[in-house]
Amino acid sequence: MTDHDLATLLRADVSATEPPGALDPAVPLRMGRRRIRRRMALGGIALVAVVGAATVVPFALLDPPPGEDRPADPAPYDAEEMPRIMDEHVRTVLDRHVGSLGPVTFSAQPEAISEELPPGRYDEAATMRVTYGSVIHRYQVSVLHAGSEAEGPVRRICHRETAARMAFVCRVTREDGMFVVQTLRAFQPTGVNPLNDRGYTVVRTDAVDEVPPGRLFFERSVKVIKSDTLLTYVTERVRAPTLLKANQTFKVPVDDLVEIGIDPALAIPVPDTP
Amino acid sequence: MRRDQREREFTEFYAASAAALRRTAYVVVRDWHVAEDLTQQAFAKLYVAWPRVREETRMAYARRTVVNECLSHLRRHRPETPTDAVPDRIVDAPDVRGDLDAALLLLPARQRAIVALRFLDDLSVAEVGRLLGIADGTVKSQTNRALETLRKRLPQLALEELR
Repeated sequence: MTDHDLATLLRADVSATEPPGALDPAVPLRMGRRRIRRRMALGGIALVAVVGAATVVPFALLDPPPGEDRPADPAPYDAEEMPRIMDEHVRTVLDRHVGSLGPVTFSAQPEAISEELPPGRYDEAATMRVTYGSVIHRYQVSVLHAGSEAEGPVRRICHRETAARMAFVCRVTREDGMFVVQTLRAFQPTGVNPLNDRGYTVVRTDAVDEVPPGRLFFERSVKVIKSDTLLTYVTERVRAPTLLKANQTFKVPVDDLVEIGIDPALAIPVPDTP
Repeated sequence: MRRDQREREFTEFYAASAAALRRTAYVVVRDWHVAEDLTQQAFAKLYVAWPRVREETRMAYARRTVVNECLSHLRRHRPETPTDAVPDRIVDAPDVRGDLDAALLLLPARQRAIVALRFLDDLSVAEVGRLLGIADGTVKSQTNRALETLRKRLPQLALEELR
């Protein structure tokens, strides 16, 4: 084998197997921005620590040796705090783009999703959800444990969805080691009245023209697989007669939906079953 | 540097170089999806370092970061089982592409990186040495070892070329 043989063989192998489609610069841009933000935050913490130490040291010299007064551990998970935490984290991002987000609706459901958990029983929740907006333009973030949705070959499933025309777009990326699945789909309501928010079915991309324009909804969705069972779904759904109109109506860039999805604060433990 | 300028320059550089670097990564890790992830991670690091990296060294910086990401990934995941016992001869091996894959997987990760840089990216011994932080002599000896392994695994290739 000559050098030339090897070079030829490598190039032939690469060009025969290379996946089609260009690489998306949005992914490294987003990861890079986040790294910079994290560094700046750590720099701020370090500065506070240095200033704090400079202030504390003279007093520390006078104090007795440290005993019980240790710094507090991070607050333990409290399911009852999740409505506030979810709202704060999600609102911070959505507020960048949505003029008046309005009030939040929080819901928590156990594994039997028909039941709605009241406050005081949120630790039984397998799903927690915050919703903003109205039926015709809705933002929703769900945190849930659902092994069936977290398992499987993510990229292959995504490819199958687009091949079956169940999604206009289905892209898989990795962010901080987590799979992130971005989709754009069309839906129509299951009920007769399109404004009765009682469930939706997916409209195939080649059947969009067959649905009355007033019944068409489009949804951008970001699904983040955080563990074997834990997922976050972040969606923006709009009612629009065409995909073009929907794209003009969406307000939150996908990057920001991803930012919400990968937020580590948006996580719940496997529920306590009573 | 203003953020919009950084992002514009970065996006242009990405459009011009990401595909080629993903190919390099693929030769090292032998999986397109992993290659893409590692290329994206390398570019995220490049984005952070962007104001400090001179324009004339950007490609070398990006390539080094991609290769380092690949080697770190392989260290963490160890998908390969390098062996000294390379078969002397493959009697029945019509599938050259499948053979190439198997042959490359016989190489230790760093040898695969050297093969990618030298034979796919056409870098000189000195450039590969600088990029991997190793002596020119090491690049040469590792290249020779890699070629020796590949020759044993792919004997039919040279024969085909001669016909």
